[in-house]
Amino acid sequence: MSTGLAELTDEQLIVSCRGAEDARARVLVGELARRHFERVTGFIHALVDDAAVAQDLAQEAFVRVYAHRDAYRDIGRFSTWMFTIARNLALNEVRNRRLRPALTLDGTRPTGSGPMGAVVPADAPAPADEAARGDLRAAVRRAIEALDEHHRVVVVLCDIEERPYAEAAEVLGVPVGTIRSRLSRAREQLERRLRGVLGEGQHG
Amino acid sequence: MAEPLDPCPDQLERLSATLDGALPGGEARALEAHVAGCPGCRAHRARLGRVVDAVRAHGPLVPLAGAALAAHLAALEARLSVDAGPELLPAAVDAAPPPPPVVPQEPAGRPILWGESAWQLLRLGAALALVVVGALLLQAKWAQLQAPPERPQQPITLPPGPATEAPPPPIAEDPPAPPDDAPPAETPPDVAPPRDPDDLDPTVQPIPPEPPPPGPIVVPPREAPDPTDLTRVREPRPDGAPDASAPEVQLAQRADVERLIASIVDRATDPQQRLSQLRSLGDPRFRQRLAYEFLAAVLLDGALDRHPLPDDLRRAACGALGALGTDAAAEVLVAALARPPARTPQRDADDAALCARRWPRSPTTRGVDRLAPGPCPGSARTAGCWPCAP
Repeated sequence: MSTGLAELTDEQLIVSCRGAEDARARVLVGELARRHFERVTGFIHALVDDAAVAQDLAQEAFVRVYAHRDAYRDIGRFSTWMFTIARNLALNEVRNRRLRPALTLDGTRPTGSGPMGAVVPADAPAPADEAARGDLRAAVRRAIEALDEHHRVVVVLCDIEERPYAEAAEVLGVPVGTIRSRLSRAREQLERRLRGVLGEGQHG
Repeated sequence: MAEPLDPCPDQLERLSATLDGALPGGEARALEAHVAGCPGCRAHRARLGRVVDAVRAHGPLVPLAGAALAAHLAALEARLSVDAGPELLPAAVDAAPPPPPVVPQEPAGRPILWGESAWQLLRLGAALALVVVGALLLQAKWAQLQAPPERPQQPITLPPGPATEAPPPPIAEDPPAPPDDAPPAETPPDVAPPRDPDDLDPTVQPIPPEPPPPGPIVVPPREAPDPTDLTRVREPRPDGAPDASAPEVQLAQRADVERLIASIVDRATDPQQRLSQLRSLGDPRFRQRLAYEFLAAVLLDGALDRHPLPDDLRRAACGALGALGTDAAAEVLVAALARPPARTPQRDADDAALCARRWPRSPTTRGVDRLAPGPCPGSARTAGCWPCAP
């Protein structure tokens, strides 16, 4: 069993970063990144629809955690602060893309109804087909990715990350009631898309 | 397959919120009364529960396997080193004389505040410019004289893998003491001193990622799982891999897990030690971490013995048990947590909204399923809650 940094909470780590010299702060932020890099990547991916960009932005998020470590106020959870940084980065990316629409390598616009192009390709197999091949995981992921970004990010925060409504509302800057209604609509859509996959007697 | 019964449209949002225990007591009671007489809503809530379970079981959206995660962490380390100051970069170390500093812009702007005439401002500006240029020339000369003729090239070497966790950081504001067995903190000797904090402007965008310096950056790979380690609950799932929900603690290790948990529950055990033991039931750096934090709050608080357990902690503990995913740990923890709390009508109503959600038949509770540990802490006898209404 590991001891040392692994024993400390996120909040203890980030508080220790404040005023720490650079070398020490790098180690502490590195530990935070080891714990949360995957979560932050998934959260940003829910907003930007691009795994590679999400991974780059997740790196950027931890660079900012490092650069702004003295600005952390220990009145809340570190994860709220971290997800808020990640949200700002993702929204900047989305805004920039809208200003300069991305072109594919062959010069054509990406197709699809979403703001960033097709989240799920038109010829992608339906979730039920994937489940028939036993790939339930892919079916669930595609169903999540088919949501628009407002609903997808709430699913990531509340269902995957299991954050309470109040924290999701703080991260996304919307009222708690909005989180509740978006989550409900997102689950309705997921339920419809996965209806053939998750049978009455099937569990995950 | 038969067409599912339709739920009542005006109850959809409440049906979703009740899965998270996010309905106020009165609203939850009204919903329960409605659901009891409405098969459509009852079936729909069960379907939504299965959807949420599936989403939880199959997140995150971008699973990063060990090698990919290590690569990203290595790149991040490189970027943090870049941001920490150019003097840490080998390329900068090679250059013996420091680069000429950038002319600061602030002095030219300040006199405007004094309300002088334009001519006076012009003269003052010229004088200031002369002073600044002279100072910069002197500074550059002084720096040349002070700089050693040749600085030895210092590779950037981050602490090796376990060492990144070994030295406890200095805790600034009254945190719990680090474990006694942790080695003392020390600064890696081969890292240059930090640069002036004034140079670190948080508003400036970080330097675009340069290619990481070849060779010298040593980044620890992720810890390889120790086969004798009871702490591992499940591997981070690589994309497309089959469901890894099967319990991984072998029966041969069950006695060890039982001993561990008995020590956690034992009030004579040092609280810090209990906390670390509790976390050792699952890798705290990954998805199970919150579950153990909740359990730590429950067990370390002594709430089970001294007070009625707060509802939120009891709910969290139930959820944490569902997230454990190991046979033996779940079984013994269920026994530890299953003492009935003081019942109140409000608690019964709240639990009724929760127990069907928190104790579904799902992969994460499959191990507990066979054990029939007794009533759900909710004790609401809600249809679909297997301990309450098996």
